[in-house]
Amino acid sequence: MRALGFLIMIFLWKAVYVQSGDIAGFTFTELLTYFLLVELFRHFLSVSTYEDIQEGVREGKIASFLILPLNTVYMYFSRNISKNLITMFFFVLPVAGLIMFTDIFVGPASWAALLLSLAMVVLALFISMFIYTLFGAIAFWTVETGNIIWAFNFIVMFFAGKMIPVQFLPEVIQNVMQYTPFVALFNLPASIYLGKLTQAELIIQFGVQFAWAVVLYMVLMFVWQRGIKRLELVGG
Amino acid sequence: MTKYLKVFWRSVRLSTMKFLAYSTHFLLGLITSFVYGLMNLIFFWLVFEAGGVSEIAGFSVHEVYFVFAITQLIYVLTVIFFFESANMFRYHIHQGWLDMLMTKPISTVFYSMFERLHYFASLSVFLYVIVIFYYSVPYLSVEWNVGNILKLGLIVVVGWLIFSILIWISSLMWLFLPRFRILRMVVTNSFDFNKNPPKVYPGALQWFLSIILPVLLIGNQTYYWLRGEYGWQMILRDLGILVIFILIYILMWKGGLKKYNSAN
Repeated sequence: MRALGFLIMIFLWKAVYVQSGDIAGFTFTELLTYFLLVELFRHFLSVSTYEDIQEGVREGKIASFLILPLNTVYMYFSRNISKNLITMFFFVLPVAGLIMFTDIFVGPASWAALLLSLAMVVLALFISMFIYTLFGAIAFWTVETGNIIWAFNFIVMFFAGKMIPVQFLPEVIQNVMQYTPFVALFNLPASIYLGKLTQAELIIQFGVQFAWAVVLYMVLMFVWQRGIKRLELVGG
Repeated sequence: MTKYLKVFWRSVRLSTMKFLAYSTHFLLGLITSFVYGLMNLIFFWLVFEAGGVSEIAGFSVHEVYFVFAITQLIYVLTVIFFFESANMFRYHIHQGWLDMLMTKPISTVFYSMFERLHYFASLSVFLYVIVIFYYSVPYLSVEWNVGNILKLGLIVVVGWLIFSILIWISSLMWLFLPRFRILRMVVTNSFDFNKNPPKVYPGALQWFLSIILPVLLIGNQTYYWLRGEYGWQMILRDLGILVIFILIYILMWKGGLKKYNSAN
């Protein structure tokens, strides 16, 4: 079903590119590849820990995890990662096939670009898990987090480059966004793959996103500990 | 008639009570739906700005805003009145609760259609009204005579009916195939085709989306209306398609109820 959204986007941008040959350094095929990669990364970066936590708090199921002799947060993470890896397995081959055997999409700028892009995706997965699990931990106070996540997803759609490449946003916003963790989720891995970042920008971006990962992890652990202390469950 | 109005009023009351019982959830739902509309408007602005184009497929940003607001108003109306009930219909079938609905001394079609209302999208109405009157209408080169206004009204009403019927046809499918959810997903997701001017799509796709899965009739004809091309021929075609889909809906109800069985 997501393919329909992809199709709608392609037709719209095709009509725009008929009039302008190149937008913010992206050719039409590069833009198509960008959106294809975003779709691929979406499966790998998908996080459901907040749903598990919310359900666990609402129905009291979290109690059975908390008494296990392991870190509950890490358990949620590992469950999420294993799920993503299986989903990814079904998408990597078709996407690789589309890139290698058709002229519609472009390959990576270089082997180094491909490897760095993959490294950024892995970093993005941790950032994504920390952010969404943090939202999930809000359930300790509010029980319901669905709409907060929904609202956050809209922000991600825009500022993470899911709906439109960040390079297409006004320069002021771009300058701010490059120091936020959102860009790591979709825009950075896809842009690195397409060779849109200079060496200096790469170093800065990896540094910034690594720092965000550390900060978010620490905030998550702090909030989690506070949340656990105020958790009250009936039954179980 | 009074009986139906009473049932409808009870649905409104119960739905309102349900939403207000979780006021924070409701408020966030309203805001999120509003933000969704806003994000889409910003997206279109960015497409025009980043692309450095003044028109897409022959339409300016104000015209695209106008059609987007019209189609979204139709979407919001459908969500408010039909979405929740159409979703609940699936559970009625799965759980065998449809039996209970059928024993009520009121039309099952009516009761199941207006069983529950959904208010999350209601705040967006204000956004789309503002877009229409402040960011679109002053920039449109349309003659605002009675005929044109009536035609626009017809587009909205036909679009609303077609979208509602499509949603309900996809729900009635569950009477035949209780696990078949793909049609509902196709209908709701393909609504997004309405966001773009029709001419961005290839001819065959335009035809498919106007006749077979007529999602482009859910307000998208406003693009033709803006150019003064929405004539009687198109009106008759749209009404004809609406009638065909109403007939499909009636036949599916009749045939579906024969298929339905439960042990409840």
